[in-house]
Amino acid sequence: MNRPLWRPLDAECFRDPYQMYKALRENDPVHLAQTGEYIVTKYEDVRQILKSESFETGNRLIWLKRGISYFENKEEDLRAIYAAMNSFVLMLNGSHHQRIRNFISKAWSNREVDSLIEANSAMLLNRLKGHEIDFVKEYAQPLPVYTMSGILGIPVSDSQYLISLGVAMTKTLDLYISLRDMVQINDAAKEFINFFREQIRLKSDRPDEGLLSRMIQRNRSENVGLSEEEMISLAIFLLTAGEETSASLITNTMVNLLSHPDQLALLRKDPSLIESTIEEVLRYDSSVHLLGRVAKDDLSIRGKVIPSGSTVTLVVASANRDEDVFQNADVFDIARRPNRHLSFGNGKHYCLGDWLGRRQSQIAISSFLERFDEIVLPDQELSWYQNIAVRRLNTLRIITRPRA
Amino acid sequence: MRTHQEILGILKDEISRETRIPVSEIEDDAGFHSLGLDSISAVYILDRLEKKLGVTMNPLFFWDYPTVTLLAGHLTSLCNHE
Repeated sequence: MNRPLWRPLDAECFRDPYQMYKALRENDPVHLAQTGEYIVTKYEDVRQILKSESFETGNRLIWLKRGISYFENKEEDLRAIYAAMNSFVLMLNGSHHQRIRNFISKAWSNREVDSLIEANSAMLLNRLKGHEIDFVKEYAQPLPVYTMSGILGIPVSDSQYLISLGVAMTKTLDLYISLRDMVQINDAAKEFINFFREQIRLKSDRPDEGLLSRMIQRNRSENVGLSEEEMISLAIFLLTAGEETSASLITNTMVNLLSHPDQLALLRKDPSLIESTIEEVLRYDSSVHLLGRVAKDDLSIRGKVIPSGSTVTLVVASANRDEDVFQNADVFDIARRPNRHLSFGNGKHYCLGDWLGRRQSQIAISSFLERFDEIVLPDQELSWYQNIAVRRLNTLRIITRPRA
Repeated sequence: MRTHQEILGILKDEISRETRIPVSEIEDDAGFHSLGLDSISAVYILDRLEKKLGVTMNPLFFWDYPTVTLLAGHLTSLCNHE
């Protein structure tokens, strides 16, 4: 049997999906996969679809909703999944999307985060013990959850617990999941809902300066405010999105710098390259690999007819490696300019937290390099998340030597 | 060891249970789609098969081996390797 062009669950594709993406771009850039959806891998197509009014988001939410009602008849209660996700802006359309997005944009007015990130980063660096560390568990993963906890105004003491819930919720973005995954998502969703219901109760009684309190206050002044369920879901979304994507971006930056020593040396020589370094990691090895859309009309892309109602999978991480747009697209070049990657999306769903993800990763990496003169990547089998939508290492063992 | 026939039987039982099509009417080379299964009932059937056969299912099996006999064949080789 011929190997399908689209085989994202193969072990080799978890290690390196870029070969598969390249084959798709070269052989069938609008590929009708065995799964019935269209896989779009060229930059221009991905960008056009993200901007197009003929496509809607939310295909995963629709699928999960159908799954929940199906499993209700099998006596498997998965309803917490939808309750937790009802206000995930990334998956909403039209006026519903506008309403939630406007709400959070207005409530989240304080964008001064540098001192918070710097303090969290210093605290984690001071805590590192020994020369050999797990960069993911001891640094890249806790940092964003501390930051998001600080922004929201929720206790940092819950960070380990919230990380595990965030990891489970991220699985909702994955395209192909099992019932076991759905049960795990549902369990995490229930815990998350209880956690934020309690936090919202606390903040309603005793508001502070945090974002969650501001959301509650803002909501009181709205004519048609958010329901408690919507507020909880939005808080889950902010925490998970702010945590998982940043943890991934910080880790992917470190592993790519360590495996391209010339680029690391360049950055050490000129620390002002940190901004373009993060942009290049976003392009070359981004956190979010896939975005989904549904066609609202019959459309034709590159001569291929996409019937109304079709699911379209946009491989952002492939668009970012498109040779028609990026010279030497497979080369990791931290000084690359211009660098118009699509890792934060495009159009009206453009990432709400791009500034935070960027700033957090810049500070995280700069502070780490400043603290350690020498960082070595020991031989190891890299283990990646079993999630084709989000690229992230489970662990990253590194050896560090502090500045003399 | 499980034979191809044995696994074919288990798979047909599961499909029949889900679709209410009698086992005798499920052709070996029938496609899952034509039997009325979709990406959601696939999740359920793969979960049942995983528990029955004790092998880890990949959610893409349903599409990569899209007929009764193709999936049974793949599961047979998996069962006899693990």
